[in-house]
Amino acid sequence: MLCTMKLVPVQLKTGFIKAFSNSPVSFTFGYHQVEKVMRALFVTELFLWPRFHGTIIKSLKSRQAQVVELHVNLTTNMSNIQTCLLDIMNYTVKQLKSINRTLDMKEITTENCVTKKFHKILQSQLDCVWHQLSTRTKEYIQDLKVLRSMIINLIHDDSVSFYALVSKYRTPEYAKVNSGWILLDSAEQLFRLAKGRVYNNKNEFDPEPTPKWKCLNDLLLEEIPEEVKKKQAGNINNTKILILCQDNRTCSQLNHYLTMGPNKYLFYTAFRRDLTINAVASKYKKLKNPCVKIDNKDEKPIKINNKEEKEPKSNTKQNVTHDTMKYELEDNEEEFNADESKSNYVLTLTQMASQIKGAKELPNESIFEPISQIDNLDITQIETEKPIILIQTFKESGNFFSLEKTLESFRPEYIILYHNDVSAVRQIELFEARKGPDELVSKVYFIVYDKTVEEQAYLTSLKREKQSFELLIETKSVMVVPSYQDGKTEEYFNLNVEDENDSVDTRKAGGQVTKEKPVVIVDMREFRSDLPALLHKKGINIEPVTIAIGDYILTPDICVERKSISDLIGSLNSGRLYTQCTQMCRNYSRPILLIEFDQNKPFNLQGHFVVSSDLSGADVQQKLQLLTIHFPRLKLVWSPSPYATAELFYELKQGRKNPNVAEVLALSGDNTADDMNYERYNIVVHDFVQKLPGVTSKNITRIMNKGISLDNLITLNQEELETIIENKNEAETLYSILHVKATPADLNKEDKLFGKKKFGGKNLFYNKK
Amino acid sequence: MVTRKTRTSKDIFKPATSKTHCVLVNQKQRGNPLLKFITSVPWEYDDIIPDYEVGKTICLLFLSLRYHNLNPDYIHNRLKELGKKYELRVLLVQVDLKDPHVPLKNLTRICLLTDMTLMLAWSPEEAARIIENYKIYENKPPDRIMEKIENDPHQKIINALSSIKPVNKTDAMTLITTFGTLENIIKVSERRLAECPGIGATKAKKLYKALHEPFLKRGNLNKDKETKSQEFDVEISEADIASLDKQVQSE
Repeated sequence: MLCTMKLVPVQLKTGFIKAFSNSPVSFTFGYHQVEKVMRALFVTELFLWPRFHGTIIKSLKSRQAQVVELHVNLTTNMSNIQTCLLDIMNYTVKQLKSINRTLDMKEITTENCVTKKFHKILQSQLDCVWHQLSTRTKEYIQDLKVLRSMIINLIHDDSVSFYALVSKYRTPEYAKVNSGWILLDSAEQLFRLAKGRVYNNKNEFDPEPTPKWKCLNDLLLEEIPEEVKKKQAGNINNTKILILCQDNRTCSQLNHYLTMGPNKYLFYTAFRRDLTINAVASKYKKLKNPCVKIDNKDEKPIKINNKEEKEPKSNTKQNVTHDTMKYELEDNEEEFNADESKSNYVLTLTQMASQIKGAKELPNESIFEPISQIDNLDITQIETEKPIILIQTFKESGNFFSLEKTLESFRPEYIILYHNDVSAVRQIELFEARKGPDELVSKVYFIVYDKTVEEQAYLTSLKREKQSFELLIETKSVMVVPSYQDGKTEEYFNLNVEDENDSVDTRKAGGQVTKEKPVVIVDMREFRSDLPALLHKKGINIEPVTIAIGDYILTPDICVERKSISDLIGSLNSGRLYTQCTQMCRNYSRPILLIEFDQNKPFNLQGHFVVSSDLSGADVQQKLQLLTIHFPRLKLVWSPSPYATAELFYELKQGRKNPNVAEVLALSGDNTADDMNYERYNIVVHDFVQKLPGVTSKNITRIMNKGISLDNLITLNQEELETIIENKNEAETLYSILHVKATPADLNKEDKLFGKKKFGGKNLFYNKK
Repeated sequence: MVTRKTRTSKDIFKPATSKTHCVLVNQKQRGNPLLKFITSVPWEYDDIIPDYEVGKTICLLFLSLRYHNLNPDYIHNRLKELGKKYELRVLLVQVDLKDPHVPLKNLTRICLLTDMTLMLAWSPEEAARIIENYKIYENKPPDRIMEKIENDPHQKIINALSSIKPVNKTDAMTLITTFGTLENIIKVSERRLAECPGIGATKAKKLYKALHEPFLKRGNLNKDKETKSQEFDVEISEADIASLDKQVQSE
């Protein structure tokens, strides 16, 4: 990506480049990130427009929406569960940090664990050293993700789903792969409380409803109609309400809640999540259309007849999105029905609020119903007498501007923020400011749980945004931007190219100036790193090609395989490095293994291959040495940084020919290059024989030397094979495999229940309690 | 850890096996702090060209970066002396400078030019570990760093057949089910191979060629035959052996 940008200004001396970003936080990762990006994009000026900028405050002040913040309290159970989960997370983070003291983990805190950017933080901090981490570290990280999904589920999902999620981890199989948190007291309490939310002390099914539901219910049935009465003199028709939430799942949840009522919805969820229900609390007995029979003695859950639920309900203005949750809960991806993938729903009231005044709770009958319409109907064309409620996510299928579009076309008078999101708030502010003078001022309701991680996460994201802007402002004040950064002058490219000695020397090639611009062939996959750009800056031309062997080809003889320390460890352990070195040595006379250090780490720590203190680097050292023993022609180069590497490459190319692209592409690894005499054997048949049962690295040379060919081998009897191989058992194995039919082995591999990310299907995690 | 007197040339005719069990250390290395950290393998002083000799094929030259800065020519002389002896020549560099990048780059270039393998140690203990590892692993097969192979023979055949480039796992399965044993697959004609479902003319050609290739490359095949015939051409008498022996002893 960096290299293509370089080519643009070189060719177009006129024209300009302007770049926009709406994510100030992204520029805070790494060092000098904003300068780097500006340099890469050839832009010279930085403009910052934070929310606290004077111009912005002035322009938005003129017309502001009315905001009401509704703080909802968690139930006692929920807030205790939250405490437990935070405890466990703290413990895990502490353990993680104690075995990785040398790693910069200041971004990995419990506070950050709950934010949306957590997986990005993990990625940026840990990906580059992934193989240098011990297994235990990786377990801790995996568990942090699990705990995070739990805490998010606690806040956003209903009690039944939460219990189903938590029960998955209460199995002996998980205890085996767990890093230890399951043995804590807090964990035991967690399980107990989670169950307590769903089953009462008589073990009857009596789930507690989500606190925000009641709040939403009140808003829709009481408060908004009151408001409407005041303003529009009681005409509740044509009122438009927009409910915004974070993901498709919540949309679907709210949709079901409003149309089915809480009791029916929770009951239905329990069946979808395969919970066992032995008895139900009294209020459930009054459910209309009890289409389910419960046998008190039978442990098995009986599926409700939910055929009608499966039919897609309301229309969508946009197409149905098939990628489900925008919110990634990696460890909790169970199968959902198709309608969970919808990102917006349209509902309306069936009865007037006044008729059900007095009923504090939603009865089992729903008073909201979906508007059944044909597909692709425009929201603005809904002509009904009834008020309209639209439920939507902040970003429809990742589209940042979907909210803006909805606001402009739907023009709601009331907006309920069921979840909070900083950019949504900003977009609503803008929408309000753009309204004409005759339009009503919108009223925005913020529903947030009091004293929870949700509130905390929102405040943290505000804080982060402010801090990133502060950092950017400071950077802008001290930033040095060279005048040639726009790339429109030649200066930029000539700066780092070393002066070539232009003198003509008759002793060299008879006085001819053999001036070839240096070229290096680079594998396409290497463009993720900085090195190709640095090579280019040094004056070396880059030829990007997909090559099968090696990463950089400097000359027809020199092939370089580049590895960071983490890659080195990973590929040594997996066996890939051995294969790569074999191929390099077969095809090039001067193969090089380049080991690149992390330039940001202090040099005295470079000696340690591994990062986690509970892992020993001795193993890696041994394997590396074993590699050098088996590939004596392979040269090792230890480079402290990509800059040093670029310099080294430049020096290595001095006075040597450029590599030929066609020749390099022709090397597919099947044959050795014609002029290479390092291999004693024909490699295809050698590799074939090497994989046969009975053939080991010890006897392969004997077989190759004396076996002559496969045709010959099959004519030998077992004794003759034994003479060649000098081992009875191996000869027997080889003989049988050549002459006797082999049968496929039984498939008795144990199914890994707890793989890296996904867990088994619903049926495995059967709650027997 | 045992140190013995240097053996004199009189002892050279003793069978080499008595020494290859330990690491041989050059007298010049006396006083090197890393020696006291070599604890897992036996070592002794001996008259050798490199600084450390491990078995018959591996040798190491030791160089401290600090020393190299003070005497930049030292390493050139040692390398010239060493030449191309030994299969694996290692330059063991102890990094004892705060800012080693320039001398390291220099040494890297030297290694590339003189066919040396560069290994870095950050302390005498690490350097000792490196020497020990070479001794321990000197004759070990590379299984530890190779891809893990299945033990199931059936799977192994599938892997072996799919190692031939255009053939994939499904084709390998087809071949086994059609022909049964490896022997049959090897015996069958190219045309018959091409008739199998999923295997066309090009695949069959490559497969046939691979299966019928001789093990040894053409040049080596002749070389081997020649050396075989020459081996026992000359008759050596007992008297000759005795006289040779005496010659060596008198040196």
